[in-house]
Amino acid sequence: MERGCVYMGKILVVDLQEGRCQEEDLSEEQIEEHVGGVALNLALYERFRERDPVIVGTGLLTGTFAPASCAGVVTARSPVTGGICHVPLLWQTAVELKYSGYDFVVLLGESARPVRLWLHDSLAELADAGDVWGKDVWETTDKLRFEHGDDYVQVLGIGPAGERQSLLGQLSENYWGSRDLYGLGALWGKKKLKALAARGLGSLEVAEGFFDACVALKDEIASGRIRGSQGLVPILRHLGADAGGLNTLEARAHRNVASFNCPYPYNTFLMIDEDASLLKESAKAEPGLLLTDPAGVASLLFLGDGMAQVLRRINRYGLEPSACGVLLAARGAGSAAQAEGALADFVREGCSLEGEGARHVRGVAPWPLSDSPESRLVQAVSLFSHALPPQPALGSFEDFSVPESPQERARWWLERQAVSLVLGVCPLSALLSPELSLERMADLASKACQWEDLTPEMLRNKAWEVIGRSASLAGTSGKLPASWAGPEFEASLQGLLQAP
Amino acid sequence: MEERVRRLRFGIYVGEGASHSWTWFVDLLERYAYHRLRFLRAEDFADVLPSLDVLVLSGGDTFAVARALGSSGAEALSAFLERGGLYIGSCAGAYLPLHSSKEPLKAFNFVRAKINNLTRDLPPARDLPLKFSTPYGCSYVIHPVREEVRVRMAEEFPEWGGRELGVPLYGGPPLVLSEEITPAAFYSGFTQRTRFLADLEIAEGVYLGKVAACERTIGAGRMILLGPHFEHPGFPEGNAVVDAWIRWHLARSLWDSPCSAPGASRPPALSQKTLEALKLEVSNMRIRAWALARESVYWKIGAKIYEAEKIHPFVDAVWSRLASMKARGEEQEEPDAGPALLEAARRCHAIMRDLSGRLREGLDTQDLAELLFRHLKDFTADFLEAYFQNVARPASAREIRHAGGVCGRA
Repeated sequence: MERGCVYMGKILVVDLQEGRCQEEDLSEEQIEEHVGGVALNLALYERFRERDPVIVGTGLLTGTFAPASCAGVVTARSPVTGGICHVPLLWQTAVELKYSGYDFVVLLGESARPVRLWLHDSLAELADAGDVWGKDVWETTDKLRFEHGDDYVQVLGIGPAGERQSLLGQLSENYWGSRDLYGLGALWGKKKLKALAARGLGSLEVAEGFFDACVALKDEIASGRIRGSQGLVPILRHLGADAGGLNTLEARAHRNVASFNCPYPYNTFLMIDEDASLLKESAKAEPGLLLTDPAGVASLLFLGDGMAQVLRRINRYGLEPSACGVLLAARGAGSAAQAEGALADFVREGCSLEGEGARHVRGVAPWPLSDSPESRLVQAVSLFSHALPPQPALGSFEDFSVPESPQERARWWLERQAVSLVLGVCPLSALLSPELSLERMADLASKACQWEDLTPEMLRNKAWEVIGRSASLAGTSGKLPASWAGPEFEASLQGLLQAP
Repeated sequence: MEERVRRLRFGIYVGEGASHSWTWFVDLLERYAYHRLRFLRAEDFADVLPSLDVLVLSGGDTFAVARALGSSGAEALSAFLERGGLYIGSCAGAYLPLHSSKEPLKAFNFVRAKINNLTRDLPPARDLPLKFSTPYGCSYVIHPVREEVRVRMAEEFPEWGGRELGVPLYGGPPLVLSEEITPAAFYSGFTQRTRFLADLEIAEGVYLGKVAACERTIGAGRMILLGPHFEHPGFPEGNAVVDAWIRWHLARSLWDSPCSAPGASRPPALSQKTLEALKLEVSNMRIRAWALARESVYWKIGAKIYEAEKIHPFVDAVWSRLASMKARGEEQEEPDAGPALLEAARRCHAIMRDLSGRLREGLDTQDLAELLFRHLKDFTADFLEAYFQNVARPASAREIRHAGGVCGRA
């Protein structure tokens, strides 16, 4: 069985400037060398570096039976930090992208006019986006789903914030935002790329025995650390979020929803304009919203009962929720009405935390729930998304057998993110379940395509190669908080980036 | 023998009254490397039939088919059989040639056999009431089960004699054994995948021991009548029975197709540009069709219920073949079929879009559904006509083996 069996075998290169789409075969050699996901994203980034590329990629296991195989990753140079960033996609977008026939999409240059990309059945259509440019994220998603005739169409797109190149502009996965802290919404706005929509009716082939191994691991995960918990509230409670805010949120919680194949349903749907105990389908078109982003929710909890309403507006504008939380708190916007009034201002061109004189780490909103040394290190590296907790999401470091030193803890976090994003395994699930260990992930990947020398060591090396190369590619220009600065922190940071 | 088999010219009825199941026969015939396929409408039925060796009539609305073909169609069918043609009818195609006193069916009185699912006292439906019964004069034709049933092949049947297999039943007839017909298979049981629309007792009485498939010699020709859809792509054993039956017929027939083997004078294939445009259009239709299949909606067209899930089989029949179609060389001229096919695809897609839009608004879609099924059927048949004229190639032994059940159900 070929290693490429878990891929569709195609890379799409879209020249936005020329308005042209070209396909390349994803070769066995590329998979041998990079495995996939963020590692191959990085290789493609380096190859097309002169054209300010954005790479949307899938992992080796994305869309397979593997537990938590929902993940994809977007790699680009962040207009906020100035450095390379790898933003995880954790809903259904990456899965749908792979099923649509493309494992990787490379977006080059800038279009002269707004465009949108439609991928289906190994076919790519770059179309005029006049019909959705100017529309908010929800209207855009609705319009594209209607246009293509299927509510299963997955949309990775931007709202007005991205269009106006606000550095608070976020890429959104359908209606519910993403973990993009790095202003990739502004980058898409600059490229005049409104959305990438995908729908896949394709299928993958996996090796004999893979399915049984997946079921066994899923059962182990389900009966492990996450057992008895579900939804975003237990995670935020564990991480130390404000209890009063969480109680308010819990009262409005309607259901918990898992991302593709994830054993822990970490997304929580809140009812806003509807009774949270309603069991039947609501008659209202927009009864609430789905909470998908731990950092964003935690940053907005101070708004109390108005949080959900404000977050809905943030999602519609395509703004980054954590940054909005920081700015709203700084402005003293304590009510939903005050906050909603302020949000329109954040959409304006070039708006940023740094420009507004707000708290930030290299221009990015800080992790809101702890200021531990390891979380500072992780944030200072600014490669992956600390919209996901920079620590175990339910258990302790001990559960994951991580030594006590902050550097070791930060190293564990970075490695876990990188390995997950190489394989296409949900990085939040990797922070929730110790059972999803490096060894088990390597074993599954190896079984999926009978790749015997795909070992934990190989994956670890690949992860650190990604981290090292990403950090060295384009040094970030963003500043660290003054209170963190100092030779000791710098030395720790430098040491952290060395491969173990 | 093999050369005779390859020369066989098939006609598949796709006209008024035919539902989507004829696309299953196309799959089966292609899988078994029968590539000389034509697609017949009621208008050209009598004209085209004389040039065929095998006529296939699958599921649909028997009354609508009979009405559309009329007495001229019945006469053409009679002549076809007299000169040695083979008729294969499944489901509605099996009801059509049975004796009836009713218009317009009585023009097609070819086989004097009784159906065992006719009753004056309509029993209560346990499930799917709309599919359970069809009025027939003062009586009702009832369908106590659907989905998979077991059938036992008659001992005399080549290769398959005495074997039991599962095949899907969607309203096809159980026949009472008589001297008029030679039975080939009997209903022998139900499975876990059988869907009961009436009580078990009624189902057992209607089906068990009754004839599920039979043949009758007429003139130099033969009629094969299949109650269940042996041609369904999910039932490779049933498919293999149909193939074996065609070969068996040929072995017992003196008739031989006079034409040369396929491939002698093929018109040029589609241009690269047309092919690419067609792929885009059909892929987009396919996504919409699969989304519509999730809608809880149905339409009554004639006497037949059409669910939204009956749209995608047409689109899939085109899509699954588009991928293997090669464009013509640039030096050749674009055949007329190309732009016409593209236009037809766009028309179908436009109707589907309107239909989706109206469903979203909660508006009536009956007129659009009727229009869609008509155009979709025409487009699919026209595409397949072009496909089989242009690019169809004999399937390899491996492909046939695969389809035949080595790898399980398709």
